[in-house]
Amino acid sequence: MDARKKKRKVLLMGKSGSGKSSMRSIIFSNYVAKDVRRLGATIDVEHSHVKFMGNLTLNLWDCGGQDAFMETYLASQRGNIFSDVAVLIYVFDIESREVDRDMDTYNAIIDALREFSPNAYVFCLVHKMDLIQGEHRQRIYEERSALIRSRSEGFRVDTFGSSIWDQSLYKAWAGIVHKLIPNLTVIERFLSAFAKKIDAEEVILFERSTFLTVTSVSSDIGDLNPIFDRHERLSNIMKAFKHCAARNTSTTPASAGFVVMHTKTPQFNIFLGRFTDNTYIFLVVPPGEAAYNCAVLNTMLAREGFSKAAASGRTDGFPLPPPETPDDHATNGSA
Amino acid sequence: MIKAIFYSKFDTQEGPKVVHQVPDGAIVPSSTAPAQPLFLPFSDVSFFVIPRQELCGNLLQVCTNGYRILGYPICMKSARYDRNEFIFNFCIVLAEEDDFSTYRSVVQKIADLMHALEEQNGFLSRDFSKSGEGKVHSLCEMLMEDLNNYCECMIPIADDLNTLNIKLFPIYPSPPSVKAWHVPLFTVRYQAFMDENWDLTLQRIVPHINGVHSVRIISILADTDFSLTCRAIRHLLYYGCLFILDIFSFSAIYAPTAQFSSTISSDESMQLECARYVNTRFAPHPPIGPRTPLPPGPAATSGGSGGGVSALASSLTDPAASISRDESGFDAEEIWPLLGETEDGGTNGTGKGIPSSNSPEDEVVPATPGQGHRVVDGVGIVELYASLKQGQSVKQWYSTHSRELANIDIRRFITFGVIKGFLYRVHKYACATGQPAPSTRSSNILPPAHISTGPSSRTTTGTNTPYAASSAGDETPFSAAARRDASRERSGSFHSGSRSGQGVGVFEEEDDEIDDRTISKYLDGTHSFDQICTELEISERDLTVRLKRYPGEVLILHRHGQPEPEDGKTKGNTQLNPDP
Amino acid sequence: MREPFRPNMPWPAVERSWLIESDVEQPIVGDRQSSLFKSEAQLSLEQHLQGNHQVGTSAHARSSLVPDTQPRDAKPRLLLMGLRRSGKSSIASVVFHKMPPNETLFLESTTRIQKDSIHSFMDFQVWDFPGQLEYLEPSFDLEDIFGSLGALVWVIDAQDDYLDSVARLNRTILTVQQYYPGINVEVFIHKVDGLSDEYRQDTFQDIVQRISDELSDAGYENAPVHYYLTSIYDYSVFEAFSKVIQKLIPNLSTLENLITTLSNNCGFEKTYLFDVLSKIYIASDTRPVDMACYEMCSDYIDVIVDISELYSWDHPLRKAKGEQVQEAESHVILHDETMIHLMEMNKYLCLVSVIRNPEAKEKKGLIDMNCRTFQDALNEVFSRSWEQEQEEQAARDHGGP
Repeated sequence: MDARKKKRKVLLMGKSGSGKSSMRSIIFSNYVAKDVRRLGATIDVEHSHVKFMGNLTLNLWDCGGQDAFMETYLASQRGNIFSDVAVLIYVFDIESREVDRDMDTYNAIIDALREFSPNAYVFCLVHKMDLIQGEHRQRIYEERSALIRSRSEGFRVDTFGSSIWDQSLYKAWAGIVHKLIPNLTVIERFLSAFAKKIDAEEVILFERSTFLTVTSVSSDIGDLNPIFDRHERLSNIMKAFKHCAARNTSTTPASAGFVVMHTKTPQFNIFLGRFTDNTYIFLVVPPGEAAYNCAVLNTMLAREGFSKAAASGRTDGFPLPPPETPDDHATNGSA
Repeated sequence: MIKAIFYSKFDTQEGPKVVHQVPDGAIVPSSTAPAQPLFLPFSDVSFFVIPRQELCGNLLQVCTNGYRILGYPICMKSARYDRNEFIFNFCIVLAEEDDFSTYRSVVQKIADLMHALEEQNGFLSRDFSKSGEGKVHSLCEMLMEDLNNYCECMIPIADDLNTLNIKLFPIYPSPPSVKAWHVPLFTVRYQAFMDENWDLTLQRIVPHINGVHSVRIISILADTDFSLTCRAIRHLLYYGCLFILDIFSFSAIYAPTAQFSSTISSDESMQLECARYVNTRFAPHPPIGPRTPLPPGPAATSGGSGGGVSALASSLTDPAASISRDESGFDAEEIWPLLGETEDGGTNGTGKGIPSSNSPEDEVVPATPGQGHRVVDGVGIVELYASLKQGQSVKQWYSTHSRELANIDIRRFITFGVIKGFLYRVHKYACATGQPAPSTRSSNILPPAHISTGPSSRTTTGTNTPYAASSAGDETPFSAAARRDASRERSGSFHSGSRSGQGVGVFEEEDDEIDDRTISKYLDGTHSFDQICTELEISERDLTVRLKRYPGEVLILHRHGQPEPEDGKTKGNTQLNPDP
Repeated sequence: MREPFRPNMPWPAVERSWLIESDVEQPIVGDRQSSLFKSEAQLSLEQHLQGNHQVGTSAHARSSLVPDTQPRDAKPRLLLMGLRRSGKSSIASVVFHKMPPNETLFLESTTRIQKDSIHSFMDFQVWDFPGQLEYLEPSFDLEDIFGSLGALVWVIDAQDDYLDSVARLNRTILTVQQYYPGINVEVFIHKVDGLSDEYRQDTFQDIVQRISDELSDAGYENAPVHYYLTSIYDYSVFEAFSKVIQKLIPNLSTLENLITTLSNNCGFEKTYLFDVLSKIYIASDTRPVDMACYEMCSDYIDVIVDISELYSWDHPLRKAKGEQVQEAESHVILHDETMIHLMEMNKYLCLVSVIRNPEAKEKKGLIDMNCRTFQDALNEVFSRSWEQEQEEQAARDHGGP
């Protein structure tokens, strides 16, 4: 198992004050948005390890963006910084007055990355979108993305517009995390089979500590939901409540959490519960007491299967049971 | 010598940055500086100059390129700063091999002052003057210039309310603690610098510091509190005005240390220095007679009562003056002390008991090299020192060498050796074994407890000498021989003690002055006779007598130094281990 | 508190109407409000829980646009008064319009009396008075202002010099009590978030002392004045408003008894009956109020409202798969085994309890049943006040055209 533990080096770069440490604190350190105003500048490189999805460890290098630091990254520390990079997350400040200079720096970073880690993923976040008036957001973001792509020779770049004040930050990071999970297709295959069996409109898998969406599947009906950013909004809602719970039970946000949440309304029923050690499962099923209870029961049974599989150590990354297990449970359950 | 001073801060856009540097172009390239190589590349050290927030508030030093950079980064957190923080550092650059201990406090003091100034009115964060200009720069400039030229500075800061006062102080280690039985001796002439502003205790005690009085006696004579006396003497010790000696007595035993061969025996100037110091001719007062060094009794000097100080002591006050006495008035040969005439003679010394000022013309002895027998020359002095050995009290030694010592002040002679570190005192310790006292004084058999307790813990020092608890004053050749026996076999065999046949005293009479319980506290082998005598205020002879009456076996051990770790008799104390 | 961001939060079912002294309706504004209300409110918990909401809401919204059809006197009125810039409008916005507290900085100062009609378990009006308005001048009709008054909320800025405010309050009390002796005066010592704990207490004591001294000097002993320390940046202002509103509820003691009985029988640590939209609690059990419980309950309502908003979309293909109770029910178990249980009581109210009893998980069914029983009792208590109104209104709507 140990040999297969995944450690991924993630570089977090961008100009000073663009919001790298702020977003890192919100996503991984349980800060709330207004707390980050108190953060100081990052000096040199701040390393942190984030355990994510069990045996996936993100080795985050938060690189201070001051000119002097940038110079050393590109010169004396070049090899050290840019080798073995799995992901580069480059943050642009939408408000920056020196776009050309930013692009030149970015280009230099991309050159260094191509030299040492040509297979890295590159994500560019156009950050602080909240400072742009709503009607111009999309246009400015698209212009900026095009500019970024034109300066990223040799890399396919994913860009996101983000802001720490809304769910766009979760959307961006969920996208990043999605790329890093080793056996995502297997997980997705399982989830869609499972969703079909229990007749769910939507099944979402959240990472436990960050509440980032790992993956989700929805039925044909679920796809009709007009609210497209619902996953990010859910992350935001649940994380906010986690903070509230932590505050009022005198514990840290990191150790607070939910055991289970049931919600029954005349239009939908929702179940949220711990699934594996590092994930929550979120089910949306149509109303109907019996169907709901059945779905919950099946989830519990599937979870047992997972933990058994995890204990026997047969799986990699995400403890997956043999494909037939959940189906069996599902049929048993609904019988 | 400060090579450079620079002020660095964290710029939220540019990162760590050198704002001001003296001399110009020392740390970062400067357009105004003459073309010259930088002392060091700043990017190499910037992480230590402007470190992470957690490291701020600590003295940091980094060496590179042959330079040592001392800095004390400060991180001030406040919402009024961009990114909530202001990080700065005033660094001093020294040569790597230079001693930097005194600059630590300088760096810290600058940091503290700047911290305060910044807090008051944003002295640093609101200073936007260009590199090489402005008040912060001139401050750095003056600081470096003044410290390098005058070792101190007094720089008024812009607002006239603050002044940067810095002085480079040498840092001494803290002095050892002073004990009651220590004997202080001035190394300087205190009259020269003492004034009425001195501490009152100090003023009262200094006249009594003469190399003879123990601290306890001094506090009694000066009528000062004992603990204050100790503290005052520690202060003098800190500044190197004093040596700490042991209580001199004729019953004490001294022996040369390992330094002996490298110091007096090979260093002629030291021999001369010694001669000048010990020659009674140069004593401030004429000696009373050649025989006066003979002790009236051990009690006189071992510090029982205050009145016990003999005429010898009074004649030898102010020894420091002699040590530093100007020697130009004498040629080399006149310095050597004269030999005594014969066993019954001594006229030489008596007749020449004259002050130094008029000595040359009165000198009758032709000072020729060939007449080594007339004077105790360098070789003679070395021989005298070499003849001091364990198991032989000063009294015995004197009686063997009385002719050579006729014109030599014995106390000074011993003291000189101790001060220079080539002589050490062999202290006596009493140790109760817990065994019943053997029935006869001459018992040859040591109880087994002696083997396990007494020497075993001290064999490493190699000089313990169990021998009969007898009066030191009448120590016999027998016991000296026994000691040699013991020391010959000390390396491992504990049977030596029993074979060499020392008697262990048995004393039946009750003593009504000091009860057994009081004295038993001192009998664990860690308290020297000096200490016991001083604290119980009895003479060594009385103590010996008293120990004989102790109900139980008492061993008396001889070893150098004192077991207490804080012991610091003289500067050379740690080297006092004799050659095995 | 929640983070400031609230994605597309629906405005609560509150209609605002701006009245300039003479009570002239401004239908344009009203229309904008109601259209916003219609589209957004479909998503709110209240709506989807009620079934056939579309009809219901529009009817409801329309009806409230015609205030003259109901006598104004029927609604108890809350007057928000105080010097200018003391925070009256901020309080109204945060409590009744779910505005994030830090956005209240941008509120412009109120220049005319602003009247909000709150339609909830009971209807009432909130009048936000401009600070500079000299309502004691003879040109104002005291009856217009203070008639049918529920409570006078006087807001004092604790971070400012409050002597003026205290003097003005005393003048108002002395004037008004001659005509309306039963009036409740609630003093909000506001903006205390900026004060240290110690200074906060000192200020509180000082203000209380000054007001009661001056009133008794004027011969008005034991004036019915109550004091609250409030801030919009925490829950204190909701707490204070809860207390104010509770005084207006005629059958409060009945409610409290019911809740206490329920709470004792089910082993609840603390139970609140919340107004979903304002998150004011109109009753709670008689155990001491615990701020931690209140915050968690209040935030849990947010969670459910926000999630409901995401999944309450309408589509013909969305169908129920079986029988289910009509009222929403939700519960969450936290890391420390604390359970928060929420059950909808009716259109406006929901019952939220904190349960710190590990056995509760097993006896969930029993708890639900007890809550249903409580629900029936509650609706009986309220049946006279608003169900009748609705019936009347429905009759009017049918009969009208």
